[in-house]
Amino acid sequence: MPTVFEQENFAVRVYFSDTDRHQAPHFHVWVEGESIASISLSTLTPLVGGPLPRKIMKVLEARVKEIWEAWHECNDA
Amino acid sequence: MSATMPDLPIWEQRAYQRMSTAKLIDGELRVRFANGDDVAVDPRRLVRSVEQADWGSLSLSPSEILIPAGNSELAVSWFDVRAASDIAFASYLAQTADDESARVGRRLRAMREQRGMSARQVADLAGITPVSLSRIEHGHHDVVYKTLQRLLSAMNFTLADFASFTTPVEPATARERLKEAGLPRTVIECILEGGKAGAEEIAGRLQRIFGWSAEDLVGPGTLTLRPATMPLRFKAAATQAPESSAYSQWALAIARLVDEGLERGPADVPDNPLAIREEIVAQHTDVRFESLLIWCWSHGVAVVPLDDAGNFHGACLTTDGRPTVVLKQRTPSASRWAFDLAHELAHIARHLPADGALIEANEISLKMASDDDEQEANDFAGELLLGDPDGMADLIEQDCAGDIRRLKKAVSERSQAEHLDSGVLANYLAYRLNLYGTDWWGTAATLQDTTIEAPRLTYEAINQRLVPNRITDPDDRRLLELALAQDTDQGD
Repeated sequence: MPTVFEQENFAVRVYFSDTDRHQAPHFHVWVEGESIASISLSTLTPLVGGPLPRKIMKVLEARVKEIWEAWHECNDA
Repeated sequence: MSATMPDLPIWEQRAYQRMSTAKLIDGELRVRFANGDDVAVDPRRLVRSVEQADWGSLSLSPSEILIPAGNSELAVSWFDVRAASDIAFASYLAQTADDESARVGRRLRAMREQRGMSARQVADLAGITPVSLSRIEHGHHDVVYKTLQRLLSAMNFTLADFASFTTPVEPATARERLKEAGLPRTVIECILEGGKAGAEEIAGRLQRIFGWSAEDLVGPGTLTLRPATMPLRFKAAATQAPESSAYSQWALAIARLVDEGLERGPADVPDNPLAIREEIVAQHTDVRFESLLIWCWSHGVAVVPLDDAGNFHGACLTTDGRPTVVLKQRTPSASRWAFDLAHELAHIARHLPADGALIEANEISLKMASDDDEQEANDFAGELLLGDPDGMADLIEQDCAGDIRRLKKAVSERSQAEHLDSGVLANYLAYRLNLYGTDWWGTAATLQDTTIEAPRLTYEAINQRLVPNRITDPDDRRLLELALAQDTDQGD
């Protein structure tokens, strides 16, 4: 399962992305069983959906290292 | 609807994102989306270990496909299926990747400058060449995870520091860039709080309202607006009002904050303007701006006043069926305010979905309706405010026996006798005469109702009803307070 973590009412998930495609490293924020936003990992800018509530953004900022590591394992490792 | 512009990119639509079926057929993963799109993708582009995947046993949720693979499970997001099958979405993502590289570069540079380190020092400590660092700082090179970590570590920063870092923006730069983006001075000063807002507050506000980061602001590129996240229509060709777009996002952001700050449920705005009129007349004798405003608030329709300069004349927005009208009238004429409000009620009753927005980029006026919806909204407003506008106009023509010199007096007397807003009635007469080639707009302007202070009433009504603590973000609360502080100096 690609879930990096779940906190309060949302979950963060990362997936394998085809390296042939030019895309910013990103992750997905899920709420109530559906992806609601896709967010760039470096600057936490929304690519699709968003902007996210500040409360969620604060959690993402604090736990960004975990998301990076999961993304790296999924895509580079 | 020739004069409307859907502004919602297809990939922001839920039906574009939701998958309804997925199956591997002849080596291709075939996916049907909720909007009816059928796409076929080579599965090797979606999962790493395709050989282990048991495609026959896949399970599907709207956002994700799960495929058993030995002791584990492979997962594919809607996002990657679309990126592999829709060239427009893939191009958009490639563009955002370039934008992101530029942001990362500017942020790294700002952090290096904050530490007072030279590019050579950081490059040496991170184990890369100064040329590579320069390319990264200029956004010409994507930064991979390991390199980003090394660069941050060289400057004694963490990934969390990087994610939350606010690149400093000088107020003068912010003012210049926001002006270039077409925002009026009053809005710029509201966002910057006249220079008192801190860098983090400014950056947060710009990100939430327009999708602009501090790096976008200090960079050389044009500030582009984030796509709307709801069906949005402009009641004018986009080329007629290019400067209205940033302001439109501002107005809609304020309307959304108002919605968040009010305790109310879905509204029921009757489709029949005469039904609204009857209700108002039963309680207030006449339908003027003041009584219409009271009706709106008592029926769950929020009315937001804005008084900035610029090519934007109003908007209406619905969120889960809760309507909010934005009025931007710089005239004190209550007749004009009443007409605009009645016009927007028509859009709410007849043209807006439960979640949607409509922007009036052209002046709301009887003089010209830009399309059928605008004409319909004008007719609705006329009936709501005057009951039977044509019947009334016929009576007035009889009153003055066809002598236009007696028209002003006839309008005045008839509006008094029938409890009508003289300005709205005069405008309607001017509109009718205009159809026959007579320009009576100048005289109509002298009959506008200025006895009611429409702007003040609208500000008071909203400020009395807002429950600021319902707005979760304290800075959003502050921003709304600033936006709804009536500006008595309307210069720009």
